[in-house]
Amino acid sequence: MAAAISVTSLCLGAELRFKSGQTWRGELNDTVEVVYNEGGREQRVEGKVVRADSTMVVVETVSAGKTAKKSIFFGDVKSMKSLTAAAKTDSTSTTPATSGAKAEGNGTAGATAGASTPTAPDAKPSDGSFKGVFFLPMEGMVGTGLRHDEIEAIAKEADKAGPGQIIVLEIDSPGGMVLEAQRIHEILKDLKKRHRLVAWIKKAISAAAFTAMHCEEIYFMNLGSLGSMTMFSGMENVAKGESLEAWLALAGEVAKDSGRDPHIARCMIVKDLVCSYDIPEGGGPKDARFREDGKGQFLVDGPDTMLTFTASRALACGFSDGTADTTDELAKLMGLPEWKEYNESGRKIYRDWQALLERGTERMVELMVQLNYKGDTLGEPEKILATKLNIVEELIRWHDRCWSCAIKAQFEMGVGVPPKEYLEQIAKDIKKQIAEIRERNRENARRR
Amino acid sequence: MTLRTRLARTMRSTLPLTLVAPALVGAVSITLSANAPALASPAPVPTPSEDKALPLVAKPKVYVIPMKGQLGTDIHVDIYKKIIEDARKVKPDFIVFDMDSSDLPKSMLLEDPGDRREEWGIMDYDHIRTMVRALREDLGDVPQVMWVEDAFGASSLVALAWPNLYMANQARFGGLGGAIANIKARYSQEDVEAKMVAATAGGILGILEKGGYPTALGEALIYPEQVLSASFEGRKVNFRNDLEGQWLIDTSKDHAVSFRATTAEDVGLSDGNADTFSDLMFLLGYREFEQIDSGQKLFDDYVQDWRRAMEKVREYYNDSQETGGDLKGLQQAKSLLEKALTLLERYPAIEMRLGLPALKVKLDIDRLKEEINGIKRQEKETGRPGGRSGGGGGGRSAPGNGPGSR
Repeated sequence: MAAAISVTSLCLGAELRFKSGQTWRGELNDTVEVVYNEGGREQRVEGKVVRADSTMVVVETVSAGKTAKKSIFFGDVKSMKSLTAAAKTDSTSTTPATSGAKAEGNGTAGATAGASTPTAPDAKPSDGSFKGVFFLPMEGMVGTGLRHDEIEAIAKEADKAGPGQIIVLEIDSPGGMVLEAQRIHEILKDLKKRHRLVAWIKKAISAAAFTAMHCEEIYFMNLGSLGSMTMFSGMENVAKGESLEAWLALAGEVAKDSGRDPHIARCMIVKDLVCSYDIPEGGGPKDARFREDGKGQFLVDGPDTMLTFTASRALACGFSDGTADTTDELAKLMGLPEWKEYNESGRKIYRDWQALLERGTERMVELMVQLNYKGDTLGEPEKILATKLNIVEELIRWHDRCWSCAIKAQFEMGVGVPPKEYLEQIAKDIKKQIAEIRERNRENARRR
Repeated sequence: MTLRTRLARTMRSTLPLTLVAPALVGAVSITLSANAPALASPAPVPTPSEDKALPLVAKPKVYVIPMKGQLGTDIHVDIYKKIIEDARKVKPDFIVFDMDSSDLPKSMLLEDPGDRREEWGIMDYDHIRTMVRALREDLGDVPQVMWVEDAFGASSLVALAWPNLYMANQARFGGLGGAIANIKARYSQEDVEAKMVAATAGGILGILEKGGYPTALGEALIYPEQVLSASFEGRKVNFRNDLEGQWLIDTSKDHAVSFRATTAEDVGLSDGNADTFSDLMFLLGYREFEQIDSGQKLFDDYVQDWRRAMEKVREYYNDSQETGGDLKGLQQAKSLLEKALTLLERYPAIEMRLGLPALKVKLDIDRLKEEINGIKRQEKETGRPGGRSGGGGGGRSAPGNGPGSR
């Protein structure tokens, strides 16, 4: 085995044994000095360790007031020592660390305040303090069924329990709006600093794949698939030039920040790119070294296809941390003593939102169709206009309550709902027409 | 695997190159080939998803779950939810899924396949995934066997979600080449097409992985341009999308691979061939068994009910177009559509089959109400009977837009 890592509960102390035989024991957020190979040269970096596991060591450095992250493949690390007093460095011992420094939270593997999690599938909470995970199912298009709002809501719930919670996002989405993906990105980027984020994949295509890749831990269901992130708008206007470059850079950064090779993300965006990998002798999937050509031992993505992972392919190259069809199986893979949910909040957030989305979408479709005929048989123009006004005003209220309903109506039911501003203008015009009719009526009455 | 298959494999592995197996005309041909290593291999194949072993009992209780007729309507998750409940009560020793669902008739030379196009399986991957998950997970503690009497088209995808697969001698599976071709036809921009194809393929391959079947096989089943060959390591079959394997299964780049029972068994996709339920039981090692048919009854009743209901919906809908434009006619039309709506809401299969959303009917009813109220007001105001001139129209669809075929 190339690396030995153990993460104890609560204290979150980690132990890494490098190829050189040197062992580092410490905790996330320790200040460390890492010596590593890069481009055939020995390099050195000093900073706060924000990730340390059998795949990657990530060190946060501060230079000229700017914070930057340096990701180093585990296999490239020659040595690592902690410069803070709390951690110990041992060149021979392989005994797991038992640091006394406890993080607040519910005590699960790798979860720690202020740092992202090292994923250690065999790590188990040991002191019985595990209170459960925050579980949020997310289903539907990004922008309608899968939104930043629900992630924000579960984050608030998790924050109430203190940092270091586990948030499991169950994703079943065909993708959707880039704008919403950007909002999700901002939230998850922040959220992963204080909680352990886990994605459990039923289906994560396009913007949903991007969402999932923010999580350090990704588990698939057997039927799951993830990938195909080409960005396009309207009638097949594929992002090109600067917008493509920006998308490639962002997706690559997200992948890298979560301990994955950025090239994998790029292969999900550009068809022509190729990706293969090698697994060093005696290594496992997590030791996979990716190449930007097809000359590796195993092919991930050929030149004529867009990369979309299935469960087994993702597992084989270490992209996924395991395959689980049930919550019990997932708990086992996550190193939890059992599947337990902290409370019902995530499921309630999901249920409430899906119910509102369904009701609101159907109502908006109804209203749009009714706009064509409702009130037409009333005879009097003022009554007809008043009926139309009621419909438009209800549409505006639905816009305020559930803007995603308008998007769902358009994309999933083929009924376009005008933007709120446009509806407001229509309402204003109708009111004006009603006022004019009333004025005319008054005028007529006066003349009579 | 049967003795015949083992013998066949041993024989073939000693035969010279490029010998085409004669029994495979009409499906795929297997040719032996030299085996040369390629640069990059496909990623490792999935481990077959865990399945319970069949019980060691003398006379097992076997619960039969039919999958017959049209995928997406007859074979629909709603009825399986009821069957799952029933099976839980019965507590069988194991379950046999009896699959007979094909887009193309076996007697293709005698029938025009286009004649029954409306009976072709509906490729709704979300529905397939939901159904497979329900059956595999909710009954996951009971051993399961898939017995394919025939599965040509989308249904073969469902069959491949089960690792323990047996086939009748005349059974086929495949016919999935259209899955990707249909996606390609929808998009003109190369990258968008590639994205949609990859997303669809990912979904399909995920279903195959549930049954433990390798990606290379899945890709040959859905991509016309993918070839397929296989090599054997003992009992293990390694499929590959090149012609470097020992056996060339599909060398064509023009059509996706399909299998007949014999070939499927030869390449280890099916575990054996059985023409009757008793044969299947015998093949599984049981001379005696108790066949539980309550699932069959639930299924038959459901199919009969929803199909009868569909005919009623057609009738109600068409009749609603024929009523007059006066008050009485509009009230009749409204009443007919209300009956249609009740049935549409009870059987989602009707909506799937006819492409007639319940919401549309609901809105048609609302529009009729509006017209009825208008006429009543008019009558009240004028004291004369009101109505639309010329009849028809209103919120009602033109006859050509009503329910018919998908």
